[in-house]
Amino acid sequence: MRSWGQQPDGPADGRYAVQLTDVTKRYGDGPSAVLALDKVGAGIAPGTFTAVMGPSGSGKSTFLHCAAGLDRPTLGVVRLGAQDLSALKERRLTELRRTHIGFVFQAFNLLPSLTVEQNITLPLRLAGRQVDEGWFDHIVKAVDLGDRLARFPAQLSGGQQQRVAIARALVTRPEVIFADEPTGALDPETARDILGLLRQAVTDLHQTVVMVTHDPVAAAHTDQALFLSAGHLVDALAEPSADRVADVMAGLRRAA
Amino acid sequence: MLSLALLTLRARKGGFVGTFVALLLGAAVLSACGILLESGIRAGSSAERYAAADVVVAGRQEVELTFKDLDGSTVNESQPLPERVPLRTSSADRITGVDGVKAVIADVGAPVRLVTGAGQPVPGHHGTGVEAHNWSSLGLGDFRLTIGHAPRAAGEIVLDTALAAQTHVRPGDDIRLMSTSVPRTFQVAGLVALKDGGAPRRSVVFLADATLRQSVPEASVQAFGVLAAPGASPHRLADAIRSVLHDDTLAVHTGEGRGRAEFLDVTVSGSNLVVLAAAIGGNVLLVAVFVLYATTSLSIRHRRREIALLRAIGTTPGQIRRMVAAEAAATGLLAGVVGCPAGLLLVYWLRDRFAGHGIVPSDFGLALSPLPFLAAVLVTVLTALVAVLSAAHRATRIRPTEALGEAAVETPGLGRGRRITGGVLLVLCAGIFVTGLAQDADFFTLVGLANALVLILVVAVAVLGPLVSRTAVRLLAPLLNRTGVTGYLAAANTRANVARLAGAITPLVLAVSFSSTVVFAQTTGLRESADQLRAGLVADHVLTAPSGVSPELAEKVRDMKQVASATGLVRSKVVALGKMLGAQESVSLSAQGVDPRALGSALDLRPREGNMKALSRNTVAISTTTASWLGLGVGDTARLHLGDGTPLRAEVVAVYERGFGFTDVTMDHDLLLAHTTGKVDESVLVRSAPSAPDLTQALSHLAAAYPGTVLRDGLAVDDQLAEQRANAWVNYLVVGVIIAYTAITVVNTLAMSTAARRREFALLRLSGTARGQVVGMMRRESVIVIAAGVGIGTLLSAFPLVLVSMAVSGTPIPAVTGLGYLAIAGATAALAAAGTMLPTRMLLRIRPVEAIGAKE
Repeated sequence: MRSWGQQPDGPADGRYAVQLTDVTKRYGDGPSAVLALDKVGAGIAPGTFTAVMGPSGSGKSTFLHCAAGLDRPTLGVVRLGAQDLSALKERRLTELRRTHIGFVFQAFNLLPSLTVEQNITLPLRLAGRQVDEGWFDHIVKAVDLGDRLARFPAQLSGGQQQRVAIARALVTRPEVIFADEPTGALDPETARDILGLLRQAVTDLHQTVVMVTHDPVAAAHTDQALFLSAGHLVDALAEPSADRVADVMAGLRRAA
Repeated sequence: MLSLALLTLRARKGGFVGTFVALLLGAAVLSACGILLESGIRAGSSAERYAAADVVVAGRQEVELTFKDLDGSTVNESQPLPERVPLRTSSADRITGVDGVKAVIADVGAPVRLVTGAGQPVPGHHGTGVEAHNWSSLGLGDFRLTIGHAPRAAGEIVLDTALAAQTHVRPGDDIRLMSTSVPRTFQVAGLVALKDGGAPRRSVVFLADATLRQSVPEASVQAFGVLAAPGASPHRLADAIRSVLHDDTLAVHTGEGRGRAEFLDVTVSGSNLVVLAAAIGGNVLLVAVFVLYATTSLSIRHRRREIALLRAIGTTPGQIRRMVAAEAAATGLLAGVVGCPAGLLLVYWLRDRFAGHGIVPSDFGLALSPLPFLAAVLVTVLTALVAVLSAAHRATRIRPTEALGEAAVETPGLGRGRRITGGVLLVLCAGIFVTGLAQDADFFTLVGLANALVLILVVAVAVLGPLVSRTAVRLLAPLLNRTGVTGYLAAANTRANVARLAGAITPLVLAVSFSSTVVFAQTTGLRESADQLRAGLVADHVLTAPSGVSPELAEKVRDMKQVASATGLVRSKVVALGKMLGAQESVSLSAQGVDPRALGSALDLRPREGNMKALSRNTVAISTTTASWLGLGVGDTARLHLGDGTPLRAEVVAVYERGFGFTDVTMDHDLLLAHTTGKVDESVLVRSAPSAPDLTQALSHLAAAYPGTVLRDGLAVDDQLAEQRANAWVNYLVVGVIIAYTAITVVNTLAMSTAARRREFALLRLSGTARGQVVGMMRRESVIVIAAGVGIGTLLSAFPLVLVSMAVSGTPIPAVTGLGYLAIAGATAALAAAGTMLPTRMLLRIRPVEAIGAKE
């Protein structure tokens, strides 16, 4: 079995931010079981922006769920830094998500009952940690929300809501930020804006970002693109351009 | 988590309305029950005739029974005694010997009837009767002579001023007093009034001690009033008297407790009130937890995505649990605080209704203290917590990945676990049904079985919900398809969402089946009682008086030539040890005393076994229900306590069937009469001799000597059933609260599941469905829901009602009134329609483009 991305035997500085080894995820039992991931291995180097791509049903969402500790693989090992996620009980896993992982989803990212500021600081509050005012001001300025902190999500546009989600993902200085189709519900211009923010998080704030997307234009903002098809990791592109990504995707759709 | 919970509460008020209203209702009912409970425990008017006594020694108005519980431990249970416990005169000497006692005065008295010179009976204050007491007991109380002089001669009487004003008599006037014989004329010697000038709670007349003994022979010592020597503390004195008497049939009162000894009606109704309040509160609490579990589960289900998001970004299951608990506690606290004033209104309304049904005296005062309110708020918060924590497992089981995808797709299948559970529940129902038919249970047990049966049936329907609703849709959808495109849409929706439909149908099933069962079980019981009363009374004339009939009237009637048989009918209660479903318990049984010679001719209780005529001073007859309750048959010895606490061992000589209409226990007339407070009959039953001329004239003539006595040609069934009606009314009350709870669930469930469909409505309208067509579609859907809910509910209630009817009257047809059924079904349907259609109309007011883009 070939592994893609950087080889699991280690990146240049000796440590992956996220590492999947022989991860298999099966849903259901017996003949109706669905194999969403089949012995997938991948390593994400720290300080990189990675796109996970593939046609519908290729397993890219499952990849993200398993990598982020939202779901447990049927077989195989997921490591976040040095930590083996499968060794953690639900509570510890949740606490790990809270402090070491940031999330940006396609939609429904925010609690409608909390203001922008409350939404951003929620992970800290859940962990019972103090807000680092300097860092908070820094990221709020970076996502350009300084004048909307007292607003409620319902009073924001879709793009603004995604920026709040990015700020919330950044507030704990996580090891990895996972983004699931973060621009899927946005118009192209706003989408570019959001992708720029994620890029900035990697370049300026030295964060690691893993983003599931099906949009070649979005993938073009990343450092590498991983391609999934029918539960297998089938291809990878470094420094992907929109055209090359589109070609690979077209090939995968034809094969499917 | 508390601040997060509070923010959620503020933002999502809609989702908590159902929970809040349920808690509010709970807090109101619980605080009302708490006040009733406290009033019952502390029941007692301030002493009047005993107000000047430092210590009052009276009979203890309860009997304590000791028995073994199921687990082998010894249990003591008290039952209130309705008749005044007699005192031994010898006790007075022992009290006199106690240190610090200045004087002991016996209060001798009996209920009497006053008659004006014109022959009009005088009702006492508050509709209660008048009591006659010995003049020497005046010193125990606050009464002072205001005019005239003390009763000295045999023919002199002293009245309280309120009574004198009512009858327009002054000192020197004549008034007639009737005890257990014909009235005797007395001359008013003087008037007494309470020191503070207020009207006494109970109308009273005073006679010279010797006169009382002679003219009111049934007067007995009601209490010993103790006047303390100067400087002696009443409490210490009471303790000393207690240890000297060392008798658990006596009660030693000081302070407010003296009123309890003086006003037995308040004391007895207080005990009853405690039982009632506990029963109502307990029932309501049970249903509240059930309903709150449903409303919180529902609101958690509608917040799936929000909770999943919280989980994804790092909220632990424990934190989610704490968040929902904090939400519930905050809602409970607010509802508790708002509910208490509502409880105050409710309790005054309840007090009036209770007084109207004769459960408490009309002047029964409520004891108001902060305690019931604090307890109600606390219990409300706890109830909310219990409900939400048992529902919270749903919340903590929500997987974080649900935040990423669309809402979980409904799984249409019915799991094997649910099928098995449903099957087991149905088998259990069949078991209860058969057990209920086989047992000769009393009405309360039957009602309990019927309620359990219907609840388990409802749970079974809930468990098998999708199966039930699919069947209902299969039956009803073809009708909808004929009503055009809206019907087509409605049919498609109901077919595609059987689980949602089942969730909407279940509360309707609960509402209809439960209220039908409880209401019609009562009407069936009342119908049977009335039937038995009519069939069992073979007497052709009945003499009766509101304040009782003198026992000698029955004797006189019996001596008439034209009379075949006649008996006085006296009623009281007895206490016994019963056994229900294997567990022993103390039970209070209704008892009647009749002349055994009249059984069969004036009164036919339909004996099943034994010989009713063998009733004597040491035998009893019991109804079939009582026989199975006490586990006794003909020839066995019954161990009873009479209404005044006197123990009685009596052989069971007969078991009769007409226990519903008449009483649980039937005894010899003179035996029972001797152990009542009033020593009067409730009525006299007369059966004329065959071919005798009409008795009416002769009986009227005889009755005229006893003012207030009226002649009827049958028992007034309504009066006879007053107690059963009061019971039924309490049941209706509980049902009312339960229906209110179910209504909350119905409206909450339907409104929330309708509100969750805003995108669907928007989509329909954007794709060209007119607003009216959406309304039409929803109307047709709710027709399916209502038809299925009411239909299944009616079907389910048939089983428990047939059970009750079979067990009570032997016919499978319960007494169902069309109007009552229409009211239950109609109210449920109206609630369901409102719960669906109002949110639909509100949703349709939002512009579809906005609704379709809106976040959940």
